[in-house]
Amino acid sequence: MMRQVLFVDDDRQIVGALGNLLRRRRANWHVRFASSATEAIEELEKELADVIVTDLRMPETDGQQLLRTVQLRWPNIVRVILSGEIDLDISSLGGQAHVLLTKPVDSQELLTTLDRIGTALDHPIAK
Amino acid sequence: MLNSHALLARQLRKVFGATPTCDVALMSLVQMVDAAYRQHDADRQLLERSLVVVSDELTQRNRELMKQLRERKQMETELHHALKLEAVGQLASGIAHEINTPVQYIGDSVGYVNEAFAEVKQLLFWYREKLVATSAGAAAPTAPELLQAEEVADLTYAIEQIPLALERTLEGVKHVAKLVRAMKEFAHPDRSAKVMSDVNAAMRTTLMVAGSETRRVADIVEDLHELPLVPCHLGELNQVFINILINAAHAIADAGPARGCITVSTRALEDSIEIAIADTGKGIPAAIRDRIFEPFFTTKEVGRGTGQGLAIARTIVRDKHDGTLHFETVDGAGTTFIIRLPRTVMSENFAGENAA
Repeated sequence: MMRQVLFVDDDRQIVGALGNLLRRRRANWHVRFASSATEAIEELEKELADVIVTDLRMPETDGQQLLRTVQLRWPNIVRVILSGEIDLDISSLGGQAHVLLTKPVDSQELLTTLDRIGTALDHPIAK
Repeated sequence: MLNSHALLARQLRKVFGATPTCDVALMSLVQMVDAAYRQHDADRQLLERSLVVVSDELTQRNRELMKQLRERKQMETELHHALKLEAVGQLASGIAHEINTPVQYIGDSVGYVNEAFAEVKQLLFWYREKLVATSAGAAAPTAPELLQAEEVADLTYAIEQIPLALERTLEGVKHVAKLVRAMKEFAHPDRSAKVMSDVNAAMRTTLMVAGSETRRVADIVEDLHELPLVPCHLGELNQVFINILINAAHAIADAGPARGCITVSTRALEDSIEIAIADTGKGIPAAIRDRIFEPFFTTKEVGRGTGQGLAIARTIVRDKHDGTLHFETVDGAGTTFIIRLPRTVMSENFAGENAA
């Protein structure tokens, strides 16, 4: 099933490279980009995504604030952090994110993570 | 009876008459004087002996003091180094972020090029196969077949994106190299003697190292004018700059979420050079303006500063460079720190040579 992922990063090079990387998964993933938290919210208001992958350190609104907003307004979106911070610990993020990836993350690991999220979304555990 | 002190007895006889039957009172006086002499003698010996002891002790103390002085000097050096590292430590996560980001996009880009090349290669091999087959008399592939093959290889995207991915990779590598070089220059240990140095270059290096911390909260405006070389300990000056730049970033962050501006300007004055670092932060409250240069005085929470930055900055500028460090501040509008370093005869000569 075709899924949508929204990448949020203020670095245009990161965005460009992720676009290249995800090109291989174009049959499964429709990839969208936002360069700031504000832009990400606007994107989601326009059209929902299944997964949001965001950087933390961004000017103005940072990634954590963005994820809090997403958690509140669209709790079904899978929240992933992709950050260059060195001292991060998912347990200290208080449920803001489902997955924590730190830059530099291996390209393959990023793809595998997305694949796994896709599979999980396709086969939700019955309630 | 008077034999206890023969000399004294003789003198007394001269004065009081030479009678062996001296007054009892006189006799006891002689005895008292005699006892006093003995006592004095004993005291003197005691005193001499204790003097020897005290002198030994003094020598010992002196030695210990010298040792302590040496240790203190050593500790000061170590402390100084530690504080320099502290500034770098504060920047460490920012610098890691700054390096991790390009490493991420370099990896993704090269990874893509690698895969894309494999697909394009496959397409080329397919073309070659068709060419061989066609020249052997087989039917040439039709236009839709060709398009289909190119589609599978994602050729249009590859032709557009491979150069971009390679460009991005080169830029990333350049960025990391530049940052690592700046860090190396920044941390360069000083020689004991001052060296004629380009303060603008040092400022650019420091701005690069501090960039991850400052750029997050502020735009950096560089207004660097041509400067003569001045004699300085560049490593220490870098430390002054970075301490003030970090303070500027903190002052802007504390002023609120709005993005601020840090303006760094340099200019040559008649007998000095001036470096000004201005922020649009919250300013320094009047109540603490007199205290900001005091060692260990800080308004920052633990982990954000130890109150040493400006104290060290002033020591370096004033004591080691015969310069001045002062500030101008407006509540709620920002602070400017101004450093002036003297242009020495040496530097004037150099400027003269340059002009010639």
